[in-house]
Amino acid sequence: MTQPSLPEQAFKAQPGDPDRGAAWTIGRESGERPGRPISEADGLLDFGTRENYCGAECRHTAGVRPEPFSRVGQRARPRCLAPRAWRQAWPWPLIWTLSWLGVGLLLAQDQRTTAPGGPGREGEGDRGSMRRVTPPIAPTPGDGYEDVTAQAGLDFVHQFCHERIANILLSNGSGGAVLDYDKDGWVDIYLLNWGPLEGVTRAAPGTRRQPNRLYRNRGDGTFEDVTRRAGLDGTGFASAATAGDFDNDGHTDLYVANVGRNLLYRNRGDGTFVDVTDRAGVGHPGTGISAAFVDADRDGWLDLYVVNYLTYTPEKESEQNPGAYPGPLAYPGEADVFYRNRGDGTFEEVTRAAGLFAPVHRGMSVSAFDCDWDGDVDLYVSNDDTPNGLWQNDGRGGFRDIGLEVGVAFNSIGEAPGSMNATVADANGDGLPDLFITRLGYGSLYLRTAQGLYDDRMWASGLGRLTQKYVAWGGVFLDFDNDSDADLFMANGDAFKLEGALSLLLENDGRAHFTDAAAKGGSYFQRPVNGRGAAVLDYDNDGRLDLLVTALANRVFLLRNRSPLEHHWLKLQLEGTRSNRNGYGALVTLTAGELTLRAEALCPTGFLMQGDARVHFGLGRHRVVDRLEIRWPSGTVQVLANLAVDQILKVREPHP
Amino acid sequence: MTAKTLTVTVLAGALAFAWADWVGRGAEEKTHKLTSISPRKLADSLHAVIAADRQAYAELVVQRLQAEEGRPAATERRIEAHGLPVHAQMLRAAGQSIQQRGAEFSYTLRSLWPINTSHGPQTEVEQTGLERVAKQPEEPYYTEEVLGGRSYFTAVYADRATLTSCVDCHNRHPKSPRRDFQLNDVMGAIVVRVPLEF
Repeated sequence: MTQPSLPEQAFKAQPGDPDRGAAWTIGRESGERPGRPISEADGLLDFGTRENYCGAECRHTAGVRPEPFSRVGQRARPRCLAPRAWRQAWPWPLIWTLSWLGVGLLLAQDQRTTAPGGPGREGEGDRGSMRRVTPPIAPTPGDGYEDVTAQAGLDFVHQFCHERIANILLSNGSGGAVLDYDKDGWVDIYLLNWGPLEGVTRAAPGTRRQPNRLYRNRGDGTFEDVTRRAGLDGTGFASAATAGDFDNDGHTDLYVANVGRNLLYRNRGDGTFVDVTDRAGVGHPGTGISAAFVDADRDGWLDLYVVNYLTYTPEKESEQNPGAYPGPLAYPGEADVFYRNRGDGTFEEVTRAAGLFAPVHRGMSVSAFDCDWDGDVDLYVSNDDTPNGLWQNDGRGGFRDIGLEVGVAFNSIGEAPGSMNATVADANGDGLPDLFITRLGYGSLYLRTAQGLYDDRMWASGLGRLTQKYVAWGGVFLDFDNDSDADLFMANGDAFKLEGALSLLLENDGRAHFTDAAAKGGSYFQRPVNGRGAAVLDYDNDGRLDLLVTALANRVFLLRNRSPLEHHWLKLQLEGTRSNRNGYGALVTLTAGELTLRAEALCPTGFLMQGDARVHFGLGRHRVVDRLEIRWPSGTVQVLANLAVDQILKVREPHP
Repeated sequence: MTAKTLTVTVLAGALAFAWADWVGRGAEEKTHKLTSISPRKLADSLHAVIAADRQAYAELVVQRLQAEEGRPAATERRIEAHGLPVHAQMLRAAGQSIQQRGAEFSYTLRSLWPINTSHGPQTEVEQTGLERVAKQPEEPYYTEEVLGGRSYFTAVYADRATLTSCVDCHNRHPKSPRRDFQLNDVMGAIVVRVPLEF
């Protein structure tokens, strides 16, 4: 058996443990008080040979009793480690000794925080058990949402190779994507994992990275793990994923943003994927944290926007808060990257040419939407401690940041705190796309005005008060009760500790006034979870919007919406022909009686996660959709009339 | 190791120690030196700068130009009217510029009677602070607040009508909810926030 390393031994020395004992303590004066015993196991101070002793008069060793105290046997009298000159003044020996003890304790603490990768499970006896996976949350009658993760077969656990959130990269978490990879009409789930990363994590030697996981939806409420078969184990320290059919072959592909080299997987259409990163030229090695497929130049091919965070260096320490990790401004920002799809399976990096080069920001996520409904996709980029950007498209794939001039760069208190993501919907029913921004700091509800400006209604909407005490990460608009307005779900969590926070379900009255709907949501909303990514999906195709939440160092949460079926709905599954195959960017206007709703077919990326890309309308009590107009990115306008509700409607872009 | 090398090493070590000891004792002699600044002191200092800049802009630029040209020099529609920004716009632009430079504090102008509704209170603390300084302008309102899970030290300072141009503008503006301001009245407040975590 090899001898334990010094810090490990030091950790074992606990005050009050007579066998192990603290290393040693100093008597105040000679003979006044004996020192603590020194055991074999201590090993903190190896005093060496007798010749190095200070001598009998030395005050530094006077209190240390040389005889054995325990079964571990006698030790030689300790040598004073202080230089001789230091022993002339009283404070020096004490300082010297305490310094050594301090170093020892720090090393011990450091060693103690070295944990094997992956959180412990209930009942495990190892160090990993300090973190426990949340057990299934039992619903109560009347709960709007039920935690069905376990019964659905989603056994994914986020691999967190540290005992604490020791640095800024460890605070962010990982996400995934919702996609129908096998085109069976049921959405599948792809979840990303971390694993060890030198300089960032502290994994035990030999810790292996746990794979990303692809779960195939069987269509009966359960999923099967098809990761290996699909070839989607992944590599590296994965942050976020986006799904889109970049080669227009009818099969949805996947792009994974890693801390390190990103990955593009082409869907072969036979249940397997192939890594085409190098051929496509999109393996950016930055600190990837978000990505979205968009057709910026409306050529029918999906381009790719990749968000990078910051350049992390382990040596940085917090100036103001010893023990806390430094904030994002302590590190240089990394520019995001924009790739134009050439249409031949390869991409060209055109960040500067497209006007999107912004090197000082610390990006967190990108939300692609058409802010002015002019038919081209714009980009809202959420940044950490730097102003957010709204990049307006000139219609040809050239962009300009108008965030400051239209009022979406800062929050309502004039600050640019850590923004996580923007979720897009018409919050006040005026037909214009609004934005809600989640933050570590005061969030924003930006309501778009007819003049193209934004009015931050965080306080007036009630959201300021409701969200005040929570750090919000993934935030998504969803009409959870299908009453035709945009409610909100927020995955909250602690940025500094591996502790949870309550998630929020907030109900919209249709005029952008929100109230707490946790009671409607049910048990999940009473349980603290260190939430990060959040995605909206309808995994059981019942027209009620479900939720998928990733958590830091914890399992994933699949929340089935089981609200009463009081309201009607319509869901669109779009397929472009001249436009990109996913139909991303299509603008949809629905009329049902007096109700008019507008929505966009988004590449629905949020913080770390991409949700269900199908366009969902809650219709309240309307039983018929009178008119549905789809403006495809190609410019084609398609009109459908007299549509039945409560169905998933597949719509293919008509040929001219 | 030769005896000479040993001697030199010992001497060098002794000198190094003596120097370190001397430096250490020198530092000990100034135990009164500041090692940190309190959030309150930082907020007070920032407010002093902001208020002084505002005053200088009002007196040296706006008031003077107005006197020379005989018409209001500052206007909300400064671009169309080729005018100067009003005080609120000036303060907002500077505050945003500071944020873009990575400053780890923020400030904003607030009023219980805002012409621009976005300058009304945006948090509970702002509401309370505005009401308090309206009644007791000499005493800033200090507190801690949590917004979006982030802790702040928040200070609210009364903002008075120091020039007749301030009073005239607010009393005449069609969107102004209050039109009986007099010189030296509290018209609003400057809110300074210092985050207590990054």
